[in-house]
Amino acid sequence: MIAAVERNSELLDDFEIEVECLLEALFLRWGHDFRGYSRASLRRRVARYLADTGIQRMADLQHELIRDPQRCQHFVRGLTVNVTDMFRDPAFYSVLRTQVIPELRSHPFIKIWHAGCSTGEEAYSMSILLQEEGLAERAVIYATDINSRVLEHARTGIYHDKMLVTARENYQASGGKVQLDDYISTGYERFIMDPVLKRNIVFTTHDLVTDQVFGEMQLVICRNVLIYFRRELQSRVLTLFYESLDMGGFLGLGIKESLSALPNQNSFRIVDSAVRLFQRID
Amino acid sequence: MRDQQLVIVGASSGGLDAVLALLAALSPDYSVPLLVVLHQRANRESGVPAMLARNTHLQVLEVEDKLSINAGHLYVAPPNYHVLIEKEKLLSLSIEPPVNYCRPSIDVTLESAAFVYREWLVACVLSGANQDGAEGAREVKRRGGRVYVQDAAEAQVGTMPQAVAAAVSVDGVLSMGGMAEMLNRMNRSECAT
Repeated sequence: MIAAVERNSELLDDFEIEVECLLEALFLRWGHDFRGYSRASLRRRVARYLADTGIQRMADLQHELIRDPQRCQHFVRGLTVNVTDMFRDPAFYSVLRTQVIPELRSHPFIKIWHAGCSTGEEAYSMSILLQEEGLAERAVIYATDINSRVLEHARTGIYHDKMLVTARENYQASGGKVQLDDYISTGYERFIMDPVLKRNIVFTTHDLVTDQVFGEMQLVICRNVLIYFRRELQSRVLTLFYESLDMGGFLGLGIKESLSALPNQNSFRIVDSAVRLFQRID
Repeated sequence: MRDQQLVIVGASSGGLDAVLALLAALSPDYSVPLLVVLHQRANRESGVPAMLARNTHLQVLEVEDKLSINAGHLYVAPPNYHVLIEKEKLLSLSIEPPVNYCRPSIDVTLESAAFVYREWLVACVLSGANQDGAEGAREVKRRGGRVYVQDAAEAQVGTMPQAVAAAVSVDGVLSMGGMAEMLNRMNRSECAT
């Protein structure tokens, strides 16, 4: 017993032990399960949270988290990373246009699940793409995130115009058919997405760790979410995507993510290796 | 036991040439893993890994999610992602907001690497026009690692190595030849153990 204790104290430092306790407490008290998250980035965000809130000790944070639902909500929002761009990685969208859209045309009704959509920029990007390809009338995008606060932002469709330069560049590079400005209005240092684009987006909360399958999708997009998960959780989430996809449905990941954690990788074929686009074939 | 150590090379403006000069002077049996964090333009496919691969015997890989860190390899941070190091000696990625206006940020990588590699970490900060790396260098030293900077007189842009040297007491201010020599020595002593 003593040997085990000594060994552990060598492997984990005090802060790491406190982070593990905190994650356990969050799960036991509120059911928020971050235990499968990669620790390097998580530790960084916990440290940042302490610095931002001025809470001195992890023990104090844990005490509050167990007892105060508001504190818990605030903390959980701080743990998730919410960074995205319009048409992030433009090459991904041009491959969607050339490889995926032609196949989607054969479907009378198209269901797309964008998991981890954050503040919604990429959901609007997809909506623009569907408009331009003439598929918007029969498509719906389920844009989900664990964080209800970012979904509130997503629903407004209002973004700061410092994002606009990148957004315009990305739109053009993605093979956009007109101008991004045809889909937005600007003013007061903001731009707002054309409300027409919202008609086929359903924003709703969904936790990839604890929630269930989203059925019969033709396309699942989940980009730069798996990077925050350990392999065991990646494996579970990729299986969830597999089960949510129609036969022949497509899966798009972040350009540095892979299917390597999926138990049965042969159930997908590679459509485009550079942009990490896959198709379910089994 | 070369896997026990890690060398992180941080570079920004003018840094690519310095990295190439460093690689050119590494001995053919050098095999301690290297991680290069070079500031690059976002949203472009990077030509840097291919360029480095043409100039080193090490196996060059652009960092992917949960890649394991092995001897004989040189890892390059991809544009638009931070690179962090997991306790299991895996590389992981994050798109958290830029730090010091940079993504990848040298500070982010050094902080997380210092946590895992402690006294087995060597940080080298080369040419650059900002302060990225200075905070990270503090963490490296706090955890017992070593910090070297490129001689500002030799660097195309001396701001970044100077900022590091002002933040911590560095283990050496070196030319690229001198830095390669230090790494070669470290590689040899690793061999002996």
